[in-house]
Amino acid sequence: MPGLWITRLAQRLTRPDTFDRLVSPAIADLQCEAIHGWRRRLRHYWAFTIVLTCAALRDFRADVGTAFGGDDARRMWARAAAWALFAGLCNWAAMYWLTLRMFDRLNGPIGLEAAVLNGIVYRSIVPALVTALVVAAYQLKRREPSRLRTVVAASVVFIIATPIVGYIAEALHAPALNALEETYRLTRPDLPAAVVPARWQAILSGMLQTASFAWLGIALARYRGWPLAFTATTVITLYVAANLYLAELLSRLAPSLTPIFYGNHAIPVNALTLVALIVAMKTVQRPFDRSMTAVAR
Amino acid sequence: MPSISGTEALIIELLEASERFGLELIDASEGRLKRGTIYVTLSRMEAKGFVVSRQEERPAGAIGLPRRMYRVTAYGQKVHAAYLLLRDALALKPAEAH
Repeated sequence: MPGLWITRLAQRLTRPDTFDRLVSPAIADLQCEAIHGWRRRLRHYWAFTIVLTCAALRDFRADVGTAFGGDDARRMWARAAAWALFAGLCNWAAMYWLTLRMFDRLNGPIGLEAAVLNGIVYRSIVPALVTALVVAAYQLKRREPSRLRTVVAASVVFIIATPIVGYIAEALHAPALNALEETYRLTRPDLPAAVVPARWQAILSGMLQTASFAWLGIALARYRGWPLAFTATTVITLYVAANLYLAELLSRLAPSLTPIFYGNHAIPVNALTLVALIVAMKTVQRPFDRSMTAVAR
Repeated sequence: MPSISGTEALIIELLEASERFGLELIDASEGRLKRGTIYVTLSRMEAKGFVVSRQEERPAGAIGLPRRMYRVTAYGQKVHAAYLLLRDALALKPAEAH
């Protein structure tokens, strides 16, 4: 019977009501047309692709509306913004301290230090905004346990927003990035020249972080207690280890790509911030959960 | 204020005769309706209340998905009639309009 695999695919991609009203009529007609030969069937497959794209876009719009609309969602994003501020401060303090230590060792040129320390403000805020997604994904998934789609929609919005924010803030970002690059060169004179422009380094690393942090949020919402701690630790360890391993592997296999990973120096700091964030979240959440359970009883 | 497009008006015209499914509408339109847009348009018309749909009744044990049959509503007919009136009025020359 034709159309079985596209039925399964469409059921995974679309909401049940969208599948029922928009996608299933197209598949039903495709199955009826199957007897008329491959040419008509091929035309119908093309039509089905358009229908599925429209359905996915319509559902995405609805999911974004669920994620960002309504008083409940606004409260949740306000909470996420507060956590982002906290994470930003942690990031900034850690990076400031680490950079000063690095400069103590380096004895770097005068003027470079100020540029790097200014750049740290930006380098601390943007990843902190991304960590807000962890909190948001956690809250979204908890609010609607069956709606993974809402979290995915919010993540897509963040992933799209990351390069846009990076592009807008380029005037502030570019001198700092160049200064950081210069500092890396002083620390590691053996590093080969960057083949990817600094702008793309920042965009790629930002998008990578957004996607993985959203996944972390989902993982947090799915598990509780020891499994939660285990999952969070595994995710962070894997995330940092994968980056370090990739950096190490790339420095051997493709030395010219190494600066991309050295450019993404905020990741270990972010991981530390995330651990602190998770512990804090659990501490705050526990009495809240207890009080909610008491109210429900 | 309901809005109706040319394609939606055409679908209502085709559905006035009888209840039909997507593929039948494409065949009946003689090339004016495309496969890629018909289902999206029908879904939008259903949301607007111009048409209603139901799944076809099938014998037990039939394989594949049931087709969705569409029927025009009284509201859809009313909006369509208003659309035709407006279209005819706008087609008049200024002198004829008085």
